[in-house]
Amino acid sequence: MSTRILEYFNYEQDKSLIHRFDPRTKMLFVIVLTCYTILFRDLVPLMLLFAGVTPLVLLAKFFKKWLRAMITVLPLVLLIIILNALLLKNVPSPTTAGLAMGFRFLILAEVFGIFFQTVSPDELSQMFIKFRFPYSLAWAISTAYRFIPTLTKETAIIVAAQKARGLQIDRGNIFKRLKNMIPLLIPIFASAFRRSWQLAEAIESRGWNAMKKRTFLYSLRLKWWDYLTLLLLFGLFALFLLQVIKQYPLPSWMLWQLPEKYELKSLAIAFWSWLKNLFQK
Amino acid sequence: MIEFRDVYFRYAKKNPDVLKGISFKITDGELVALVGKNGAGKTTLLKHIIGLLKPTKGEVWINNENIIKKPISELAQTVGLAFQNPNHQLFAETVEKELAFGPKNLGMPEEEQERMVQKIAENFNITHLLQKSPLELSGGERRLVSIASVLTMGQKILVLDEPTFGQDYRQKKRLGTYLCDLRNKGITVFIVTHDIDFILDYFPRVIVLVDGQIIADGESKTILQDELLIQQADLEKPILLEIQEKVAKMTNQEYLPATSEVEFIEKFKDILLQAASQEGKK
Amino acid sequence: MTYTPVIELKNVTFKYKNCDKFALENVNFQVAQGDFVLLVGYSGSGKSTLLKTLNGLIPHFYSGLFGGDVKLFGESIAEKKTAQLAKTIGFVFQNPENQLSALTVEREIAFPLENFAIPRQEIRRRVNEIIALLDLEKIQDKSPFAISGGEQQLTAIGSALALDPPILVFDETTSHLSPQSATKIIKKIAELNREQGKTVILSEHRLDRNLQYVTKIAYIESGQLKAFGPPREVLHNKNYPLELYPRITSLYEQLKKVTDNFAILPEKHRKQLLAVPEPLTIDDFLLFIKGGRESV
Ligand SMILES: Nc1ncnc2c1ncn2[C@@H]1O[C@H](COP(=O)(O)OP(=O)(O)O)[C@@H](O)[C@H]1O
Ligand SMILES: Nc1ncnc2c1ncn2[C@@H]1O[C@H](COP(=O)(O)OP(=O)(O)O)[C@@H](O)[C@H]1O
Ligand SMILES: [Mg+2]
Ligand SMILES: [Mg+2]
Repeated sequence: MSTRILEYFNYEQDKSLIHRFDPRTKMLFVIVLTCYTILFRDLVPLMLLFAGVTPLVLLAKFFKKWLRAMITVLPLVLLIIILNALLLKNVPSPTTAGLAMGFRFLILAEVFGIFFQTVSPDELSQMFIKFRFPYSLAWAISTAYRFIPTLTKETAIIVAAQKARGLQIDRGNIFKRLKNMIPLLIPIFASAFRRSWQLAEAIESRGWNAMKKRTFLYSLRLKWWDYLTLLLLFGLFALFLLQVIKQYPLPSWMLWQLPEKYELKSLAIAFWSWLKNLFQK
Repeated sequence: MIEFRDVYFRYAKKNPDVLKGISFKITDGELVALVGKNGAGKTTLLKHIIGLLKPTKGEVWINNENIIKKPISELAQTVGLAFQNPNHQLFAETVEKELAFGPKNLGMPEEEQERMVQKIAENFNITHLLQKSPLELSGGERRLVSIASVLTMGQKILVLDEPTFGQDYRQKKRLGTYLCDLRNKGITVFIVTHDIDFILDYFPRVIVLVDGQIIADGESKTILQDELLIQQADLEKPILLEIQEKVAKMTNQEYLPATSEVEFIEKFKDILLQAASQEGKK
Repeated sequence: MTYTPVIELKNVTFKYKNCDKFALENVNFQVAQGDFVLLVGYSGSGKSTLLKTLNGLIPHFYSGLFGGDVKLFGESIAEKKTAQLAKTIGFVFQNPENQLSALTVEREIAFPLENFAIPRQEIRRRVNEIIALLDLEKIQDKSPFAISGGEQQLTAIGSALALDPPILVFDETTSHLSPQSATKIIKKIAELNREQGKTVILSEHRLDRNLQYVTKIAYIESGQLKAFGPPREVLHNKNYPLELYPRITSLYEQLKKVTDNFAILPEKHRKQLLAVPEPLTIDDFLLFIKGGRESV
């Protein structure tokens, strides 16, 4: 399950439409959508938001992965809905509020998913550079990311190598097992250390931070579609602020709630009495 | 004895086969070298011998037993396997402890352990390193210690992945001589290497792996004369052969190469004598 | 005009912290413009340590006892940072996997230029130049983690070349490669030496395929420079071990021994053969055989 979720946030190299947007545009998108998701408490606007964001998942070409991840977290979402529906007090319709909560979770998952699916670690670090973070930090982020597959592969080899020398990892009591980890952990760390040391030597030898200023062969550049989208997003953000300040009432259709008889609680009670009847007969 | 019977292997269901019907047999006391391009599947093949990987189809037999159900810990008593990169296995505080780690895992008595460590250390001329930390050695020294740390386990079958990698001439010679000694004691040695001179000097048999399939298996002297095979295995023509080929071309003589140094010297002695006698006739 | 060596080591000494013996002891030598120096020595003899003193990785990166002076073009580097020296000396290491970090091969080559704040158009021009020089067109947009070891080393060479340093250092750059890729890389390095006049210093185990390019050999043993000079001179130095002879030279020596210094041949012929310089490479050997046939 955890690997599914990790995979869900893993960048996918692709040439989808969404990939072509600047990471800064996508960053603003995440911010604005998060604001709205928190702003709305009612089911209908959240459903509309969900309906609006889902096509972007298709555009970003990761529908399959998304579906898989959604199925994985479905029990969690259901749990959120049920707990809210049964336990919430002081709201006219706890079930509606529970469903709204569920949609909120799904929207946020989609929005962050789209961001991490379509922004490469390198773009991420370039974005940091544009936001005037120190170059070393940006470099460290993207480099660490690139070494993850190497480290995973290396760990597998280390385990194999020590097994071949007769190491039995899952033998004996807990202390023995912990001790058995040493022949694995030391090479893993030593190897990672040696790797970063050698890399440090190599980049130092090629002029790392030789000057205070540096240039870039490539850097992020906003395209016309980015400007257009940013404009739209800023507009939406302004609306959001306006709503936060002025608290305009939402149109009534947006405040729609489940009728009383479809409340989870009433359904449960009805089901319970039906069962009781069944047995009493 | 190592025997592969039509072994197929792939890392994941949707991946292509890495090994495609591998069959060969190595008898006790043989010295065999496995050659092939990077990515040909050599390491994958070696891992099957100690059960780290199991064939997706086919069987691996060690000493007349199908090892499909045998745990690695048991196979490690029979098969010693040293991987390519020493950094993937060195961990102990001292080289001495590193060398004793394998034997200890096998439950070897302590005296026997010590004896093995001393013997191997002497053979590889690393006694002066015994009290050093294996992590602080130079690259070549680490490589040697990692090979030695498998040799101390004293198994009947020894499998080494690229042991000549980054080794200097002296260490290679020590290693080659030691492996030949082992052979004389009935131990089977199976290695992966790119060093063609090392093969010609010490390994009578060679198996050529190309893209997961064995395309040649036989006497090194014969196989390593095949230019196409050499090319396909990403090897380099042995110096001895290259000289003779060029000389043959230069002198318009038939190319009948000598494959050992001794033969080579005899041959060129004759060539010089011939030239002199022709001169004398004139 | 006085002659200034490109590289000059004066009494260079180094002892790693936590290590009881010196890794380098009073090393002195001078390398001239355009030299191709082959650094030879058993593993653990101090080759990497010596090379790392050339751009200050030792002593700046390693704690220990450092003594002596390293001069590049007559200037001591004691006060200089390693990063600053990237313009003077390009360094390529042994392990192909642990020296690359950029997103693509192209950006790896651009990296040193970016560090020196070179304008973008200029970086573009230089990167293209290097890609063409090293035939990297096919892989320029690939990740340096998705290419072969030989290609990785070529990428590292490209990156080291980016700032056009007059000196290039290679620390066992081919020892992780297959023989075919290794030979290709050595040829490239020789080309850089011959055509661009780069001063090259390279440590290697394989002599046979390299000696044809080499102008000087430096032999190091237990941290001491035991011999330095033109190949034939060094091979005849009593400190130089027979084991480290090129295979061809050792074959020749054996042949000489078996024929009792060619005494089995007519005197005139023998003299002629002894006059041919001792072969170090395959071509030398051919010359020698030719000499044997055509003399008299
Ligand atoms: N753990 C792994 N998972 C998936 N594929 C792998 C793994 N290890 C190796 N491979 C693939 O299997 C093939 C053979 O690899 P390997 O046996 O390491 O080759 P060699 O040792 O001959 O260089 C290569 O194409 C490699 O990419
Ligand atoms: N980081 C280090 N710390 C302590 N000792 C080291 C370190 N690196 C190398 N040495 C020691 O210094 C000596 C020379 O090593 P090195 O220069 O790497 O040799 P070479 O490159 O010729 O194989 C060796 O004896 C080695 O054990
Ligand atoms: Mg391999
Ligand atoms: Mg070294």
